[in-house]
Amino acid sequence: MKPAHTITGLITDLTISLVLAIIPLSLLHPELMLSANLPTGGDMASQIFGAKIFVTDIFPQGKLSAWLPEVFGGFPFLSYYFPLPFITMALLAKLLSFAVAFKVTAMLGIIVLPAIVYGVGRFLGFHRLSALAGSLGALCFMLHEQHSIWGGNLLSTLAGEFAYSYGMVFSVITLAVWSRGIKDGRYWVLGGCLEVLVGMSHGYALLVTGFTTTAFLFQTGRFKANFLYLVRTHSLAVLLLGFWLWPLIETGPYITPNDSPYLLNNWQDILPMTVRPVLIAGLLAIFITPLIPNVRRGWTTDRIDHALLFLFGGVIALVGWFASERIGLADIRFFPYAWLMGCVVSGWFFGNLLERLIITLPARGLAGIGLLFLTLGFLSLEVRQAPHWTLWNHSGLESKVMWPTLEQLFPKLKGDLNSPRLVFEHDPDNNDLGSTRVLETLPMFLGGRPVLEGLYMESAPLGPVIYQLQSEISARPSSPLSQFPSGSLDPVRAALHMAVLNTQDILVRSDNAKKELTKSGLYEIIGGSPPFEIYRLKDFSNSYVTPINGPVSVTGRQNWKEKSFAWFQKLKSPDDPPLAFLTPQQTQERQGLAWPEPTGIERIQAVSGVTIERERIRFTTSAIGVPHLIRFGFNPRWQSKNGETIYLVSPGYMMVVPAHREVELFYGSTKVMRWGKIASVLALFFILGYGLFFVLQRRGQHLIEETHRSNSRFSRRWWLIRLTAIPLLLMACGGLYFQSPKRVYQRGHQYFRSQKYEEAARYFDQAFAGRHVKAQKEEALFWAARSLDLDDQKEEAAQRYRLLTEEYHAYWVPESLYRLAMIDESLDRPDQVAVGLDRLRQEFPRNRWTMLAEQIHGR
Amino acid sequence: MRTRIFPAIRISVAVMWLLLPASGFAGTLDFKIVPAGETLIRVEQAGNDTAYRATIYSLTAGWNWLQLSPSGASRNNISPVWPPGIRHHYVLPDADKNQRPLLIVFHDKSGITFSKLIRLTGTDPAWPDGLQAKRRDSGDLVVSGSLPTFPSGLRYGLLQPVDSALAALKTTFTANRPPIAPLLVTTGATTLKTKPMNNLWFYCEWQNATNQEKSELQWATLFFPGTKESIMGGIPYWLSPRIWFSLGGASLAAALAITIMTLLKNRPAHPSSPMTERNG
Repeated sequence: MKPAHTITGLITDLTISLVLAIIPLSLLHPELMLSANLPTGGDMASQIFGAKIFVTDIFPQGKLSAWLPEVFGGFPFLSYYFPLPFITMALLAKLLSFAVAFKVTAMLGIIVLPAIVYGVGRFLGFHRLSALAGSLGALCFMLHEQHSIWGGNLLSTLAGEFAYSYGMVFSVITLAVWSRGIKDGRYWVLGGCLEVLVGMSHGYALLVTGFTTTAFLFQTGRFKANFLYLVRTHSLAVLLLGFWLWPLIETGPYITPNDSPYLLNNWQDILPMTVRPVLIAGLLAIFITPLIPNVRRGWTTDRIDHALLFLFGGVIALVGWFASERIGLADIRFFPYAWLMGCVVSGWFFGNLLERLIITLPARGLAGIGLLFLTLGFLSLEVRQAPHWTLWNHSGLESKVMWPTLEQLFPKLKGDLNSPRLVFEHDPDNNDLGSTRVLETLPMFLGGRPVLEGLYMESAPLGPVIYQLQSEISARPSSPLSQFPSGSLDPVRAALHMAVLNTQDILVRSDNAKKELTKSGLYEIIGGSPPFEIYRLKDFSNSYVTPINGPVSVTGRQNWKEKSFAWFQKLKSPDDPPLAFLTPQQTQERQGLAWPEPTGIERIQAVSGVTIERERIRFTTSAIGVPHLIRFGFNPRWQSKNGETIYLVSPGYMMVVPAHREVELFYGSTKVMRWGKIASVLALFFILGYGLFFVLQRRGQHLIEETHRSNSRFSRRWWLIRLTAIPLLLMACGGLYFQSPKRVYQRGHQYFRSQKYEEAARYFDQAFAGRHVKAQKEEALFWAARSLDLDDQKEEAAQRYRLLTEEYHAYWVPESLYRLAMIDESLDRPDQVAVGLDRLRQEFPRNRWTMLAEQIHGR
Repeated sequence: MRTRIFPAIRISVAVMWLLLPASGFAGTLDFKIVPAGETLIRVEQAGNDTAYRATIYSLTAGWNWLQLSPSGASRNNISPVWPPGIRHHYVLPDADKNQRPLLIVFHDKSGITFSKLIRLTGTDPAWPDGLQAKRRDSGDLVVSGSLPTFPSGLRYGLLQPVDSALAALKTTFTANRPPIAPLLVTTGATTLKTKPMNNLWFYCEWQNATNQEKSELQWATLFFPGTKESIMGGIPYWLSPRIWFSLGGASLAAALAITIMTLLKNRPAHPSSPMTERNG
């Protein structure tokens, strides 16, 4: 190849890449991205708070994660979420203002994805037309508007899932590097490094990318070589990621999994409009390819291998989608990879078809332009919401209708880290602030005063109880944690729970909530700016650290979140002693000994000088040896300077038994974390050494251009063997689907809606048996009971209601108690009716089912 | 090459001309974005020279679309159909009670008067509670008062005569503080006729406006979706879908034409031809 041609080719490729980057950029209102307004929309509004702290505080200290006490009663920020976009943001913020750096970073993955897919296609040896078609396939995926929370597309990114788009970009690059390097053992270090970037971008990207590499083990006659290659590259990645991944795995049990299954509404859910023509074109090309010799010849074995690897990635994503319910992961996070990979491979096949049918270079150029224009024409008809979403997001928080109104309240709400927490009503109307999640970013405007809700609910040990409280002060609560369904408006319970969560003020918006709060008499209005009002709890004392009043019950750490949630719901007084969840080692150390209780005076005056910093809590106490409740979320990284053990207690707080008057707790490192850091440093040294060795070895040698390029051509046998692997995997997916509890549950509801209650009950029973998450089991059990109830099989129904009320504790319990009482009454079992009603009155006094039961019983 | 490319260009131009007149295509497709949902309000502008109407359609997912249908050509026969290739829709940020959009129609230079305020939730053309309408001697319709349910910031001087309303807008649209409520600003029919269609939205032409005032009013576009991209379609908005399809179809046609011509030119001689026999 002559150098002139190389330069021309490079310029052509760069031009195409630039055009491919300009297309998504043109949708993003770049002029607004460069404005100083803070972005909003969906989760984005909440992301800005964590990002701001990361850019101004965490990253400058050389750290990639930190304790964030301003939200969720404290939680480990970026220990369970993905730091790469935030690192990018922090670096960009050195050149640009924070708002601009944030917007550019958030959109970067979307802007570059089509161009990256094009580059990957070229890197893998595809002709420009094929590479372009692949990237246009990716563009079509990226601009679909079927979903806005699944990840990967523009709408999802605008909704705040920018880390996901980073994961996709690095996943595609990493797979390409491995696919090309594995044949002769090259690029394994680069592949390992790229896998680190995948992992630091998004967990699901890491899962899909990692499992996709198993495809290499099936390459004929290369099992051992490929296996060793994968061991090397994955090991390097695991070591490099040690500083972040190892502690994540160690402290994983403190996460609340986000595993609520998505119930499909219709087939369009899985085949968005913009994806359909791409897949159809790809399928057509796949079937036409073997029939036309010239087209067939375009597929070298290398290209087939690359395409099959990406296709395998898509199938892995499908397997993840179907298996997620069984393994406790979010199914919707897998599916976008099936779309992306399917679209890219379809593009490659269709591009090859065009390339082989159109034989001259200018004609191919024209065909490429034609393909680009047709895609743009199609997309401009289908892309409806994205331009408006970007305008909404990038015009900024400051431009929204209610923002000035809310700002007027800031002086009233201001405080610092030591101030009592603020809780706000969840109200969909808050979208006029830019997003319903804008209030989660309030600490940024309130001098660091903590609020209860935040964004990373899965990372927060106090998440379930915080959403329970939110539901008690909200007319339209959000209840986002499927495992811990929350309740309904109940200002009396809310007052109790606010005291437990050291929360003094409520920011309310809805008339209904205002009415109920006023009616309760427990709150006073301290300010307002219509439609917002601030309600303050009347009987409140700010106490982040208190001696525990009463004997602390001890139990094992298993299911501590469920036990905590149940404890929180059954609280009688804010001073109720918590449950302590001990590890086996702690249990052994305690040897059944009880902790002493504080004396009367100690309860009131023991603790003084409480100082809260981001990763440090200090206080002085006179109640030495008495358990103290630290009203911040527990994490194993918290340690005491004096060496006291820090216990996990309900509802997710820390407890310490001071051995000295002065107590200082700090957010440090665990042993695994320290080992992880050592592993990362060693791996970095290895890479440096390897790089040096590589350079020295190659010095003086002629740079040899790529010599390994298998040009072995297409053979029908090769084609058929490889293509049959994909349907087999798809059949496996089908098998998983038909066995899926999600599908069974959906079928149950179909029968239920058709009033075929007996069949419905059978499906719900099956779903109950197949599901693993407790709240989901409870849901299936309820509907099985309800179906049997409606089918007049009262005893069978009562059996299930009883099981539910005895073994479960979440959303369906009050209704089950009520329905069980009704069945017991119909079967003339007055004692059991009384037991059920008593429980309703005691545990759910203001629940609508209790009120209904009172009405009927009274009548 | 020359012989191959020029016929190809001719073919592609022909294809483009075949595709371009297939109008209604873009316009028809545009309309599918507006579902036949509930019409929440319809404002008929009765002014002699103002021939358009505003219709707000409800859309699922909490988004509303306001569609303006100007039809200057048939002022007495208002058509909901847009001129081919141009789509006008407007997404309201949220259609809840606190975000009622206002449509302010200012008179144009000819001094024809018409100002009206509409409420999203009302179908009654009467003025909303709390507002008074009064026709001035000059013919201007002056609306004053406040809407109790609106955010407090909106209560000042809305829909006063053009000058004062613009002054109010001007104070609102400061550099970093775009308008605080959904507020649509457009001009009367004369302006519509004389200005390019894509300047319809937020085009405020008023007498004696300085460039500074105009630049401040640009901030309106920060707040309201509905400028270029809404008018011209989705992405990339500088051309309509119809043009993209025409160009794409033409390019592909040209590519095929080149290929066919190349194949024809390079067609190998038939094995049984005299030439083959001679060479053989």
